[in-house]
Amino acid sequence: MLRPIGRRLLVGVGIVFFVVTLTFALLNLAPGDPARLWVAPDADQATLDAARQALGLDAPLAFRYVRWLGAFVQGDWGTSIAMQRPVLSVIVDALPYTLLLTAASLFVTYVGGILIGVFQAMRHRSRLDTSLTVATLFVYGIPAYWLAVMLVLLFTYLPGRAGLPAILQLPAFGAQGLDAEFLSPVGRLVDRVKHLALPLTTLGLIGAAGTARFVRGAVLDVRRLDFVRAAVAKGLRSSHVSGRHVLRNALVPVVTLLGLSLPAMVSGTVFVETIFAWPGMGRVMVDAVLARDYPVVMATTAMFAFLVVLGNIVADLATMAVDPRIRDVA
Amino acid sequence: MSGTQRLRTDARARFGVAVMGAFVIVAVAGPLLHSVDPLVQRDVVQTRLLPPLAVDHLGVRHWFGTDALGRDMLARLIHGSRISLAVGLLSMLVSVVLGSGIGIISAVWGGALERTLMGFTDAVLAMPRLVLLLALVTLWEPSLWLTILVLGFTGWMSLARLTRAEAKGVLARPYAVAATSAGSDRWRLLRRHVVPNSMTPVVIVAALGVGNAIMLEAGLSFLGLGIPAPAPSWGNMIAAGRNTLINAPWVATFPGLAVAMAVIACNLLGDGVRDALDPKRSPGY
Repeated sequence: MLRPIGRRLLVGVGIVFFVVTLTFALLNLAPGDPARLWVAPDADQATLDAARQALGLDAPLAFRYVRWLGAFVQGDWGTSIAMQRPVLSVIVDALPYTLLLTAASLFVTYVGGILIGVFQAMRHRSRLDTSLTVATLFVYGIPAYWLAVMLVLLFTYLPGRAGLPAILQLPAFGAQGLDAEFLSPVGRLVDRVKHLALPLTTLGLIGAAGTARFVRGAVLDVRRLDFVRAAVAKGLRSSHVSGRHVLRNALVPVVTLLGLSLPAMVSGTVFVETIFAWPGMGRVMVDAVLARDYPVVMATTAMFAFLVVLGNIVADLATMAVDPRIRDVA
Repeated sequence: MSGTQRLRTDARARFGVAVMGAFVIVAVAGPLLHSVDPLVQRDVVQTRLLPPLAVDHLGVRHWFGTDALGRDMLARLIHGSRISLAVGLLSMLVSVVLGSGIGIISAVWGGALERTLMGFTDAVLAMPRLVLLLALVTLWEPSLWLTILVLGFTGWMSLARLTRAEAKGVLARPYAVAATSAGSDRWRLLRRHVVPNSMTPVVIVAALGVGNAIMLEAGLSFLGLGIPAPAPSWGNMIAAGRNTLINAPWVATFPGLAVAMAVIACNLLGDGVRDALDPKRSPGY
C-alpha cells in the first residue's frame, strides 16, 4: 500500500512543478511589461528602467526562473502588485474560505447525489424516476453563474420585495454580516451559515444532479450483472442483494468520479465565489486577473493545481481502499 | 440494430439534434427572422427595461423586452447565438487539430516522443480548465479571437488521449501491419490508414465538447474576460442583467436559458451517441 502512495506523491509533485513552470513561462514570455503596472502611465524611460531593476526584471529569463523557483519553494511568493501585500498572506487569508465552501459542497454533492441516484435506480422507470431524470439533466446543464444569479433573485430580492421579514432573506454577498464581530458565538455561526447558504446551494445542486445521473447509471449497470442474478437466485433477501451486492459495487466508480470531478468543482467555485463575493481563492484569482496582478495569478494557479493533485491522490487511495481488486494490482 | 439506426430512434439524440439544429438555423438566418439591430439604442429613457412583449413609443414590439440601454433582447439573443456557436465550433476545431495531431503523432512515432507528449497531456489535464483559461486571458486584452484560441488551447487534452488510443488500435489491425510490410512509410501509413480510420469517435467527442465550450465562453464573458461589450454574448448579457435583477429579471433570465438549452442539448446528444455506439448498454436508461 505504501509504494503506490509514494509513486503518486512523486507524480503529483512533478505535475505541480510542471504547472508552476508553465505559468512562469507564460507570464514572462507574454507581451506587456509588468513594470508598467508599477509606474505612472506617462513615466519616462528612466523611471521604467528603475522599476524594472527594482523588480528584478532586468536579469536573464533563466536566471529569473531559478531565483523565482528557489523563493517559491521557500514560501516567498512575492508581493501582490494590486494589493501591496505579501502574496502568501493573501492566499493564507483566502484558503480557509475556499476549503470551507468546497468541503461543504462536496458533502452535499455526494450525499445528495448518491441518495437521489440510488432512489431513482430502485424506482427505475417509475414516473418519479423520469421526472427526476429530467430535473437532474436540466440542473446539470445550467451554468453555475446563471443559477447563482437566479438564486439571488429568488431568495434575496423577491423576499425583500414581498415584504417578508429580513430574517427570511438570505444574504447574497460576503462570508459574514457587517455586524458579525458584535454577535454572540452562536449568532456568528448562524450568520456564517446564512451567508454560506446560497453559494453552497448553487454548487451543491449542480454537483448533486451530476452525481445522481452517474450513480443511477452505475447502479442499473451493476444490477444487470450475473452475480446479482445469482444472489437473487440463491434466495437472498432483496434488501441484502441491493445493499451488499449492488450498492457496494456500484459505488466504486463513484469514488473515482470524486477525483475526476475536482477540476470542474474548482471552476464552479471560481464563479460562485466571484458572484457571492465569497472571500476565497477563486475570487482572489479573478480579481488578480482583472488587475493584471501577475504574482497573485501565479500563486493561485499553483494552489489550485496543488489542491486538484492532492484531491486526486486522495481519490486514488479511497478507490484502493474500497476496491480490493485495484489494491492488489497496485 | 446498427449503431446509426439506434441513434436515429433515440429520443434524446433526436431532441439534442433538433435543439442544436434550431440554434444553428436561428444563428444563420438571424437577421431574416428578426430585423432589429442588436446594438441600436433609441431614446434610452423611453425604451430601457421594457418587459417582454412590450411595444415601445415608436411602435416596435420587443418580444423578449429590452435591456438597461434600451436594446432589443431578442435581437441580442439571436446575435449572441451566432457568437456562442461560432466560438463553440471554432474553438473545438482548434482543439481537434491540436489534440488529434498530438494523439496520432504519439501513436505512430511511439518511444520517447510518445512518453513526453502523453506526459505533457496528463499534466495539463490535471489543471482545472477555468484556472488555465484565467491564467491565459491575463496575458492579452479580451477579444473574440483570444476567447476562441484560449478555449481551443485548453480543450485538446482528452481528444489527444482518445485519438492516441484509437490510432494504436488501427496500427494493430492486419491491414496496417500489411501496409507497413508492403513498404509504406510512416507518412503514407498515417495519411491512408490511421487518420481515416481513427477519426469517427474523435469527431463525436468533439461535437459534444461544443456544449462545454459554449458554457465556458459565456462564463468568461460573464466575468468580463471573454467577448467585450457592446457585442452581445450570452455571458455578458447575463452579467449585465445582474444589475437590473430586481426591476427587470428577464434581462438575465433569457440568455441563461439559452446557454442551458444548448448545453442540455449537447449532453443529451452525447448520451444518445454513447449508448448507440455501445451495444452492451440496453436502451431506455
